[in-house]
Amino acid sequence: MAEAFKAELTVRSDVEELEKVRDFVSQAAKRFGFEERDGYNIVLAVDEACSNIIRHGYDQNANAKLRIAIETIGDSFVVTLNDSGKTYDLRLHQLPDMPAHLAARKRGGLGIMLIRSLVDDVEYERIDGENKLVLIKRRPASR
Amino acid sequence: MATFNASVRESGKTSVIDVSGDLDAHTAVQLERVFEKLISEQRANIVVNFSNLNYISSAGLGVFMAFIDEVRSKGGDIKFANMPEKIYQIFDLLGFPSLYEIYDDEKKAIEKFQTNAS
Repeated sequence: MAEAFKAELTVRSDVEELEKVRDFVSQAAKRFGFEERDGYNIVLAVDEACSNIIRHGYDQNANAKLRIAIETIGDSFVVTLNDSGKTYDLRLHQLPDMPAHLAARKRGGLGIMLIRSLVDDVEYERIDGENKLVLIKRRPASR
Repeated sequence: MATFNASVRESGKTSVIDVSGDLDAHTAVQLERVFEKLISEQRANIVVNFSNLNYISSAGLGVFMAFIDEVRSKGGDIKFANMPEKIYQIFDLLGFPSLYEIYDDEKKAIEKFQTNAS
C-alpha cells in the first residue's frame, strides 16, 4: 500500500480548468493504487462536482476560485472541494428515475447521479460562507 | 484547452464521427457543432466511433441526448461503436444502452443502417 499523502490544487472557476483538475486527481489516484476503473470514476465524480460548482455555484463567474484537496486516510481516498459560491447540498437532490429521465431526454441531473453512484460517501458543510464538499472513495477490498 | 477532436468521415449514406481525447463541459460544444452541421446537411445516419475517446463526462453524454429526437425524426439514428470499457460503464450506469444501439465494431453499426434502408 502506498504511504498516506496529501495534495492540493487551486483553480479558476472555469470549465477550461477541468482538464487540470482531472490530471491532478488522476495522478493522485494512481499514487494511491486505484485500478484504472476506480481511478476513472473518482476523476469523473470530481469533474462533475467541479462543473456543478462552476456552472451553478458561481454562475460561471470565471474569476472565482475553487480548491481541491486530496488526502488519503487508510483505505479511503478523500477529495475535499472548497468554494465560496451558492449553497448547495447535493445529498438532498432527489436522484432521477433514469428510465423516465432518458425518456424525457433530460440533460440535467446526470452529473449528480454520476457523483452519487461513483463514490462511496458524500459529505457537505457550509462553514463561514464557504461550501465544503467531501467525496470519499475506498479501496475495493474495504467497501 | 482540453484536447478533444471530432472529425467526420462519410461511409455511403452514413456519417461516422470519430471522437478523440476528452469530452467534458468545456469541449462538449465542439461536438454539438458537428451534430448541428450534419443535421443541417440532412445527414441523419450517424455512427459515433469512440475508439480514441479517453474521457466523457455528463456534459458529453448530454450532447447525444440533445440530438437524438431530431435525428430520429429525420429517419436516422445515432449509433455508438468501438466504445472502450471505461466509457461504456458510464453509459451503462445511466441506462443509455436502452436508448442507443451500441456496437463493438463500427462496420456493424454502418451495416445496420444499410439493412434498415433496404
